[in-house]
Amino acid sequence: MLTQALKNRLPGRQVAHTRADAEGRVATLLVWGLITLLALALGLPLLFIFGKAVMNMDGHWVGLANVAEVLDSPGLMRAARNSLTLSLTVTGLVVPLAFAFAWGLTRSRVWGRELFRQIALSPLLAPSLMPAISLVYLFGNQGLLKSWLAGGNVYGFWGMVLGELFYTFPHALLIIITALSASDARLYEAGRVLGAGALRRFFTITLPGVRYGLVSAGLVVFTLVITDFGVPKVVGGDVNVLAVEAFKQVVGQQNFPRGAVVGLMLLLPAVLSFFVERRMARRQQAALTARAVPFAPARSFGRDLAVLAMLLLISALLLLLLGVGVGASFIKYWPYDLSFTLSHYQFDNVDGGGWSAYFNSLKMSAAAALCGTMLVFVGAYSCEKLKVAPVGRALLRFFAMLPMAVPGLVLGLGYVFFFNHPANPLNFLYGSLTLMTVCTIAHFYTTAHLTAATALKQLDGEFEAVAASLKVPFWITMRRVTLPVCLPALLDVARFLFVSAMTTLSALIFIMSPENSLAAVSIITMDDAGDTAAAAAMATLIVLTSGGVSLLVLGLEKLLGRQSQRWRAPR
Amino acid sequence: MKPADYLQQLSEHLSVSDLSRRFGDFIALDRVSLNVAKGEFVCLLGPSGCGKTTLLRLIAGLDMPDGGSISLRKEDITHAPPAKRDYGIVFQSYALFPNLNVQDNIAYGLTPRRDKARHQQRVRELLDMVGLPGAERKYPSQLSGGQQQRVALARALATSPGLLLLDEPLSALDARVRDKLREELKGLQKRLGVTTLMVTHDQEEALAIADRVVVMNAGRIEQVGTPAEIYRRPASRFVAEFVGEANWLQAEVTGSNTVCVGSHALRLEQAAPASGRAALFLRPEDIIVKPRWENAPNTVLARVADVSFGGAMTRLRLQPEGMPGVSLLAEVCPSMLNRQPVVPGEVVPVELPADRLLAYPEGAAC
Repeated sequence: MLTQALKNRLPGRQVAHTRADAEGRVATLLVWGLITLLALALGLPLLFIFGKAVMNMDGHWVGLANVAEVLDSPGLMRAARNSLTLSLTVTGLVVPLAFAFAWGLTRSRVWGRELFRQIALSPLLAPSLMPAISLVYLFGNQGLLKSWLAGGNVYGFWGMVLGELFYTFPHALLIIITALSASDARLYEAGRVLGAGALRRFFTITLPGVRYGLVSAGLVVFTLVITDFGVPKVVGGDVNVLAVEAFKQVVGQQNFPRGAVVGLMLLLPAVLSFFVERRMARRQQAALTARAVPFAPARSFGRDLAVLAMLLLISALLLLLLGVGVGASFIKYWPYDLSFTLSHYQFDNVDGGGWSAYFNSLKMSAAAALCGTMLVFVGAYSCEKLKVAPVGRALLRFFAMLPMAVPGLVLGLGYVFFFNHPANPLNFLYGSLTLMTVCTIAHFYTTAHLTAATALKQLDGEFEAVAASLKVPFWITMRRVTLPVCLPALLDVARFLFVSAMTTLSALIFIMSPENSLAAVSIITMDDAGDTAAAAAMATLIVLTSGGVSLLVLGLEKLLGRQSQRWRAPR
Repeated sequence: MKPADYLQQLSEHLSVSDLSRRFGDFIALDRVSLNVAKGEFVCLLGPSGCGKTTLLRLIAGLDMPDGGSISLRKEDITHAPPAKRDYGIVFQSYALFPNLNVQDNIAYGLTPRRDKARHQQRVRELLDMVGLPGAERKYPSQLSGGQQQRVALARALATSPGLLLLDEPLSALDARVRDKLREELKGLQKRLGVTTLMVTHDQEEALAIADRVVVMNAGRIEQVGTPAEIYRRPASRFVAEFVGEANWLQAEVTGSNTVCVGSHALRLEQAAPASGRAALFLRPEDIIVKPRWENAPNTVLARVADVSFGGAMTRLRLQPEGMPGVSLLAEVCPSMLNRQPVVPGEVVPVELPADRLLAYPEGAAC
């Protein structure tokens, strides 16, 4: 009776809180649970980098002394300059190439465009070490084509440029293809009617339409190159770059403060390009609100022939950089004894963990794909569909976008500083496959989240409202409706996480332990020890596994498509 | 509590009082109060952004108000979660679950969840009711828009809710299907006696289907009334302009119920506004074209500027003499015109009936 009287005296808003239902409480708990997970896997490690950067080796506050020290160190500054030159050169080369390729794929009627597209995307299946190894086989000290270099050497700046070109090409291509596909045929028709020639149409319609895509591709490539570790490690020679320097400082010399400062230097371009990209994405969207008619290229023999030549040339180069490594792994002794052998796949007498490293990678990738997809789906669902805890959901969205701005190398540094800290109760995880899985999921979270969120956004926004009016709790609707409808997108997320986990190097190289080696990391070890053939074999294994899993997922999607055809097919 | 209040509350099913909702600086709903009786069909009508959908979403619990209260069957549900309220809802997009067939869509909210046999029975009843028998195994993508709408309606009614909320349910349909479904919806609502609140921006639809229409503008209720009241006696200039077609004449108030337009004095049956200027309102079909001139009040000569055939009604554009710059739209029955053909250029006597002329203060919110 008394409580009733008290309740009556409370203003309406507070009564509402006391009446909050079980469903709302579960949803709120879910949101804050996810935030806790992401804070542990992402937020705190990043904070620790900032912490380490302003402390000395003994953990005392030194302010900006570490930064000053790095800026004064000629070696590090040379590395920074090299990194910058390398990134700018690769960006300047890869964006026009990828644009030409993408233009050929979207604006011509060349036969086999889908095949060319797959070839161009194949570097995604390989670790960035693969092109570097191929380059060593082609132009290294015993290289097949060493004579072409006329006494020169592949180890160094141009070797890195070539390797990075291969590694970043598909990333740039994907972005530019998307930009080009969003074009409106009506603009071209209007241009033709008004008497604009092909060249004028290209400069007044095509280029302005994709300028955001081009800039965005440039930013992505720049960030990828400046933070890449694999290519410079293998073919960098005596040209030092920041990414390798960070590794040397932290893993080699255990100089955490210096490593932290270098890490922050690498974080800077990534964060900058992240914000530039977000701003542009918003403007790009505004430019595309009108209902556009998709562009269908007209028949033109001359153009198609030129495009075919260009596609063949670039594809051949990409296949060469992929194929030489694969081929060499089956050859007894390059280039003297070219007979077939599987002996390089035995990994008996080489460092790096051999088959156990491969199986570790397999386990880790499978776990990342499985747990990551579930986590990403629940996270994206919370962001898009739940109505509780608006502050929590905003925070969740922030955490979901954060990894985009954090290079893997920086994340790995953060993991070293945070999880290896003696006072951290989670310290026992350090060096375990579990932590590597967590790190991988965190590293690739944004892309996975965006894929899932896009799929969720395409669903009718009123499903949840209808379910609520029918008194069905959200988790039942999530299981019975949302999950089945989003399954194709989730398969895509799982494939992406698996392949990324198989091929990534940058974050994991900091936190892996010798007893839990990984395939991609073992390539570095083998290459360092001069076992290039074994390194090529391991890289080939990764490519085959990633490719196999991609095909498997493709098959699953086909199967699923047939099963769900009944309700997906239009009337 | 006075006995009269008590009696009035008995008939109230849904009651909204002083409900407010702001989105930043934008006031979507400004202290709105509304009572809906049991079994009533009420339409919320207004232009986009007038707050009608906001009001519906607040009642559905999909959004929370900044102030005021909502009660359903005299139970306060202002802050209750949707599942704790008792309503079914149909959206413009239907929001049918694409991966579930019609049977599973309709049975989605039925409890206990495992009782399949009872569900089948109920779904069959509902499908018969909405005129879609035998569609259980079909998927939403295999149905037309109108059929999907019927399934959505069946799903909303499956749990026999005390309140049915309809958010522009007919807007996405073709005109022909829309008219047919409108009739069916009204018949079904009367048969089931379920209290219904429908949001629409289509005034014709609202007038045709509702027992009472609530006209909203800029977050406020302009008028609540039967369709005839709304059409015949618009309470404000906004309602008069929003609902149906109308002629507007600038007038000078000359007496308690007389006004002056140009050089003509017109008599009104209702009192003219106190201010000096007024806007006169007259429906096109209320203008009477007379067979011959007679000196009667409110009768003027007008030149026929234009005649256009409009099926059941013929539309005339009239320029009354002595009212410079005024152009009147009149709708007359062809049967009447048969006796008296009207051709452009002709001068005809027309009456602007005193009982149909309404005067609004000039410059009133619109």
